[in-house]
Amino acid sequence: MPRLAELQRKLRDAIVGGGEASGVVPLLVGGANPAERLAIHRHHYEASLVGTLIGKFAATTWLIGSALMDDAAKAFVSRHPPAAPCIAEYGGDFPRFLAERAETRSLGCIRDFAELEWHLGHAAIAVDSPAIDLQALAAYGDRVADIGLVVQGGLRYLASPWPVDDLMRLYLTETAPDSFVLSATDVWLEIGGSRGAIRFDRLDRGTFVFRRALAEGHTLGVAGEQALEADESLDVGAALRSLIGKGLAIDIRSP
Amino acid sequence: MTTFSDKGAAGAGVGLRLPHIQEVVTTLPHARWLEIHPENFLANPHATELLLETRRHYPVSVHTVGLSIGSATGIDRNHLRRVRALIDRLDPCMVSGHLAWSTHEGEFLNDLVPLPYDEETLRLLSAHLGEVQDGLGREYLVENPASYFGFGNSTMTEVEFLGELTERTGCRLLCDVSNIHVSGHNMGFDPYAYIDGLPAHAIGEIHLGGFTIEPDGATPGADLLVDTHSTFIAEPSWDLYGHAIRRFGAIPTLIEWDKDIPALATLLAQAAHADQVVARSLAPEPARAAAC
Repeated sequence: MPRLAELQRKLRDAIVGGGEASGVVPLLVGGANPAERLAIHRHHYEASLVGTLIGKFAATTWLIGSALMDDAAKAFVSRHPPAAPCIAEYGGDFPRFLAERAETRSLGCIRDFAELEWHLGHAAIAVDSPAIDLQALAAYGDRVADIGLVVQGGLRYLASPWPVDDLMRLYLTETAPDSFVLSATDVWLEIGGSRGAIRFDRLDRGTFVFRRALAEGHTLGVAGEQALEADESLDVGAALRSLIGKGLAIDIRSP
Repeated sequence: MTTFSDKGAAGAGVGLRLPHIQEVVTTLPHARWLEIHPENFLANPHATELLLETRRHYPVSVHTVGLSIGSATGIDRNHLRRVRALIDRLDPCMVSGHLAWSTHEGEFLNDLVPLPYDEETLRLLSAHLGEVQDGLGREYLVENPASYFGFGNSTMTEVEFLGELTERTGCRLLCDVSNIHVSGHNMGFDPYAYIDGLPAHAIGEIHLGGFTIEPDGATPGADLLVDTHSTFIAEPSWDLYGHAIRRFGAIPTLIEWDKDIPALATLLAQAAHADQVVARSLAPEPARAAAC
């Protein structure tokens, strides 16, 4: 390995992990103790990313408290550095990380609540595109089951055994009571938004599975099959008309 | 080759940060030009939409913070492609980045970490600059960093390194005057001599940003300057800027403010002050004396 790469690996370990940078400190110059100056980079790395996570997960911070959030965020940035230079994309794994920590594991809804917040953040910066109408599907005739639909960029789908949407509304409307009992209830949520506006709505299970399958890139035929497995009483035709009618589909993926 | 003058941009511009973009689109304030960090827009379709609207009214420069031309483990080619896609839509008047590294084997450190200045680094930077300029299809200016430490095994000074880099690659430089002041204080060199040592013909842009003063923990009573971009341009930086303008001429200058971001009007007032410093610095001697 080239000498520079080895030097940068050691500096990376000191900045991300807060290690002693053994082996690299003797190479540094600057002031009476260059190692202390290296800590400026360590501090910036941690403070900037912890601040980013707390900003993105403000509702989650409200739920678990600032102290737990701060500890979790520091642990996360030490173990999971950003994989890309766009910090807007950083933090998608944080809900799972929170759910695995001893301090927050007992809060059963924490992962889904944090994921809902992550999706809302994504929806807020999305931009809606012009929607297609049912006429656009007519040209495919008997082959319509083989096409896919491109959905609005801000759409995300989240299923949870907890009514995390109720909890999120309490946060967003600042109407949290002194105590709130969260009872286990299956919810199937569609999260959407555009140009700063956000929404999250409950769907019935069949419609949720249908729309999620299309958002994942499956064909109408496959999405319909999956939806009927989830709810054999679902009217797939009506589900498709509803999707199109709400302006959620923006293009067709031809067979 | 695209330059500022080609696009009609000159004087002092301001960094366009996300908290101000809606205001800029709505009010179209008097700003000579704007500079953006592409990393703030690549994953933000709404901000990108507003940026493209902004571009209709202002020259825009692109200043990358994540291309990491100093990384020994290579350039992130996926990121390079994403930046290329954005600048193809923006047609910016300039594209720039840092003499530093910020990624290591697929991890992004969200900071600009210094490099040793020696032949190995010079070869690496030269190769990466070629890769970046080919990948972007544009000239890429290189900015001098703010430093808190250096490397004992460096075989040349930063100024010598930058001069050699411009010789070998033909690249131009983004001269961050505030970084020179910060590094000069922290590393014990004369910032005026640093300015005098830079190749004047290669300077394409100037940056000015605020720094904070913190105690140097290792030396009781001593201060360390930290390049936070969180406050007003300090007087010593303005003085050094005047010296840079007298040496380099009226180079387009950017006011950077990235943390504790103030009202847009505050940034524009700092830009207006930079224009005044340029006018004073380039005025004939008697006028300069009168202005003082």
